[in-house]
Amino acid sequence: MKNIITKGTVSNLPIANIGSVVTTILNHSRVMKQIETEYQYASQKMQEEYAYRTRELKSNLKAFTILANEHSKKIKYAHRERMQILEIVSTLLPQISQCGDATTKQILGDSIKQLLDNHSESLRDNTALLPSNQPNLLGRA
Amino acid sequence: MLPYIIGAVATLGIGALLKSSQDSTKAQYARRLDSEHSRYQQRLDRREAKIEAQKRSKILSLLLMEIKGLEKEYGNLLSMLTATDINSSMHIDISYKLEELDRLIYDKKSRLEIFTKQSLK
Repeated sequence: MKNIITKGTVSNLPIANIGSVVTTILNHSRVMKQIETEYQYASQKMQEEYAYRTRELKSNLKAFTILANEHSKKIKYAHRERMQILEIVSTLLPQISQCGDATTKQILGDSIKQLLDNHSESLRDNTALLPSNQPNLLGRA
Repeated sequence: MLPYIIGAVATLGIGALLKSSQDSTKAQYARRLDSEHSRYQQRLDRREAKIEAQKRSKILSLLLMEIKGLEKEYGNLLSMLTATDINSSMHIDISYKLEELDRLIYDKKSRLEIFTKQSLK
């Protein structure tokens, strides 16, 4: 009897193609995993950078506040000092006109001049508040 | 022969499908990263602006305090000059001192004005 139907053999099956599909699928799974890992890495990096910048901003503000408070104290102290000088000057000034003795007048005058010089010195000693982005903001021109 | 052709076409088709899926996943992650980046950037910008405003307000208050103090000193000296009978040499000294204070107050007020304008920008 003649065979009408061709007998299938192993060599007829597309084994090579099945192998290729399996490899492609495995490769796909690896690539997908890699994409996800890369995303997670990038995301984490960004988060870390954000946290770092936030910390930096906080510490920058803290440093600024300390500096500003010190400057404020300095301004208040210098002002009080100058007001005291002016108070002494205002006490001494009328005495010059009342004083008859020339030497005493001279001494009083010199003292007042010295006090006024001290006042000027205190005005000149006016250091700037120096936040990094606003140099010499409060300093003198 | 036909099974091989079908197999090859199927392999190519599956390959193309998987590649397209990879590309779409990549694009999706890229979009997600972009959105995260812009969210972080916005947060940082807001925080930075807030801190900048705090700093500016502090500097403004310091400048105002300084000007107020200097004006008080000016007024004090001026009243001395007008109320007390003083000799001409002392008069010159005090007038000079008043000019000095006046210049300084003017300088501080100019700084305050510039700074306020900058803050309002």
